[in-house]
Amino acid sequence: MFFPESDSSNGILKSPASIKWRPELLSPAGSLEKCKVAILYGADAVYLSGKQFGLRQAADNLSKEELQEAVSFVHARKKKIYITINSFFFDEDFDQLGPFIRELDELKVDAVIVSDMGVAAYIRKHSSIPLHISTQATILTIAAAKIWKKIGASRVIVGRELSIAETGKIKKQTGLEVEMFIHGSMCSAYSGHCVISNFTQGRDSNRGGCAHSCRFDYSFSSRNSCGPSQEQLQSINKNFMSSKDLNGLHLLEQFFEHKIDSLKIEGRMKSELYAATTSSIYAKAMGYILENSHLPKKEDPLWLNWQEQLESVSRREYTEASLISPATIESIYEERSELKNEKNEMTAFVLEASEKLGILLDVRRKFSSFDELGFLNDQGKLISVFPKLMKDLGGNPMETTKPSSVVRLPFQEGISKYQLVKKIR
Amino acid sequence: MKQVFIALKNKTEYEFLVQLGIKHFIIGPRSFSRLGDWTDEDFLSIITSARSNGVLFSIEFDLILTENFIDQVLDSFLKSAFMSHADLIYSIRLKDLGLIHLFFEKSDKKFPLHLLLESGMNHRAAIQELIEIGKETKANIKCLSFSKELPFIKQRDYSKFFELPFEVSLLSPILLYTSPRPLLKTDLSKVPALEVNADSGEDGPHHGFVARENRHGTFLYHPKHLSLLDKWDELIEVAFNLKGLIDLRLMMDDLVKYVFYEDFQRLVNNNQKMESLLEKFSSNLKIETMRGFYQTNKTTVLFSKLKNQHLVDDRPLLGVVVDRAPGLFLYIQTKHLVIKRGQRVLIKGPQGDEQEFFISKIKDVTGKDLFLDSEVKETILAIDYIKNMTASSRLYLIE
Repeated sequence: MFFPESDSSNGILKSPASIKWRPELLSPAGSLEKCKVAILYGADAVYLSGKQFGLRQAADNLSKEELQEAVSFVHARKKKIYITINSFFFDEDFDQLGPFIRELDELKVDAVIVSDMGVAAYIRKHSSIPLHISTQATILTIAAAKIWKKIGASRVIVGRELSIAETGKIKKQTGLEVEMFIHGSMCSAYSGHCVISNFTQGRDSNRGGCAHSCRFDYSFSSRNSCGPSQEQLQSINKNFMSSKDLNGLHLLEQFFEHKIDSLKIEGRMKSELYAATTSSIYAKAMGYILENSHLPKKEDPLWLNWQEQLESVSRREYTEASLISPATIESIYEERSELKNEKNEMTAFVLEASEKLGILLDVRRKFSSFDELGFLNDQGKLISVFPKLMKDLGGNPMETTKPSSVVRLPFQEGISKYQLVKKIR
Repeated sequence: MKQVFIALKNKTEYEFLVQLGIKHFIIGPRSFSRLGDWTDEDFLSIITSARSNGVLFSIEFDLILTENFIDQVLDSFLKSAFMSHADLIYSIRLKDLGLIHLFFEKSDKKFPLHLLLESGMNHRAAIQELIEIGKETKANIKCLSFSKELPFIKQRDYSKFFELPFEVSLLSPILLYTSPRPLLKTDLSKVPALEVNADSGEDGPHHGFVARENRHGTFLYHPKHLSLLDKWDELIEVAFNLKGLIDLRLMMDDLVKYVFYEDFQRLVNNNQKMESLLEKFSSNLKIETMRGFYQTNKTTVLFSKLKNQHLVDDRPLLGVVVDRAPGLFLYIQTKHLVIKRGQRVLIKGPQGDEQEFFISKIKDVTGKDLFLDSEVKETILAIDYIKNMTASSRLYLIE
């Protein structure tokens, strides 16, 4: 929380002047760069993994040094950093847990996110780091949350099957902080209860190895002669387990009303541009509610712009899933691949920007000196730059770039370190 | 003979099995069970027979519930026919953590509980935490089903440690996926459940899954059943307090199933070994079986494809290569540590190549030689060129 809580206890939004509280915006940080980008573009806190015990083994994840750098960066800006230790442990894993917890203690991280009771109890006994309980723990009721409170949790990240109102009730009845996912990809299974990868591919989905079998195409056949007809079988969506992506922007006022402590964006495996875009839009929308007590109207250009930006990132179709009422079959995506907007891919990342060094760009996608680049500032606006005078680091003029290289442009006001660059044309 | 519980599909199956002399059953009420389809009426119709035959039931209440429904569903369960004959109840099989807690809190009624520890309970400390909470409330925990991802020997050791019986699968489905969402577009007003085979042409063995939708959501089962039937005789020698589970509710062919039950009970009655039974019936049953993680310690088979695993090192990280001028320089983005000439360093490439060298050149990106330590932190620098080291390679300090 960033502001003193208002004295409202009935869950109804007050007049603009009286809204002094807003939920925390918690963004994904699959790498050190994404961590910095998320913070600079509006996140109040980030969550990320070390090299061990996280659930995203295909993400970069952070080494000890990178964790140190991330903590310094985040704390210098008075924001928070949470470390995921949410893989399901086996007995032998505890040998490595002690040193890792001591490391996190020294780093003074703001919380750890865990998903099993043994790990939670161990950390409670050996450290004072606040405990947040992962969505993997399937906390869906007051009764379940109370068990975790007994074990020492300070916050529960509820299962994605819960509505905003149910989550508000858990907060009220238990006194625990509550966190909900508001945006991003989601499992259609109860989190933590899918072991398809474990039994079919030897990849433990609850230890970072999910093979995403739920995103595959399936065909269906009857199990016996009295089973469903061909017509019925053909009517089943071949991607029947593939959930649409969550988007709760239009419900933001309700998260305020029910005093949900933290709103989480999913996507540690997604790009820096995704982290920047989603963090920036949600931060702006929350700021808007703080000022106006409501979201902009649906026809307001501001609202349309936010929607357009959220639609421009790599994603599936959006759903509000169970945020209001239990998700129906309409929440299932009917395609195999994600929707990508080629024009909205990240082209480069600003490594340095100063009068002395110029603008140093880490190139991710090819562009030429005849293109127009847009540098996304922390207000979500694009600053136009024509890279006519770009050079390589040896000082040689260049016409086209290649990915995984660095180019230098003359310095320009408004451009700063960690900004993301898109090709405008 | 240790206790073996057989999950009953319907009343006809009950009558057949009681005639064989079997006395321990699992009943899944339609409203409270993921796989069961028993109604109150069906259950009430077998009460007299059950009592006269000394039958005991383990009642499935293995749903996962959300806050809006948990109190109502629990209330309805406690008032149901299944709970109206306490003398016939061996245990209540619970999965949901919230429900377990609510039953712990109702421990003054001494409900006998069977805890299904399916996910997030893959080690002793986690299970211990839950059992300790149960002990605080004096809950009557009667039996445990450990995670299917634990090897048998661990299950046995945990059972000894907790001094509680445990159940293993002699022959039962492997539930892989549970969603509260209706995913098969079934008209459940016409049928209580829909089952189909689901196959995918994509990666891995994704063929022959059983997808099942009912009022509680959609479930996906492994093409094979989990079976330790051929090991049963060995297991009961080494595991005190072991119980067995047979659940053939996903099997379509009742006749074959009944022949299996007859042979099973004959072996039990004659105190004969079970090892031949599985082999004899695996083809007749038309189901394939697997032993799952019976002998596998999963910690040793952890998914190893960690991204950038070749780049990771415990040494202090000096920087990451962002570009190179072949034959001249590597350009690195430095971290918060100071880079100096003469430092002995290790560079690791994304493909696992690595090389030690001493830093002899340090220039800034304007080409100026750098000598002062303070100038070389958290910026882009040019250092000695090392062949084959591409962007993303990492530079570590050898102390």
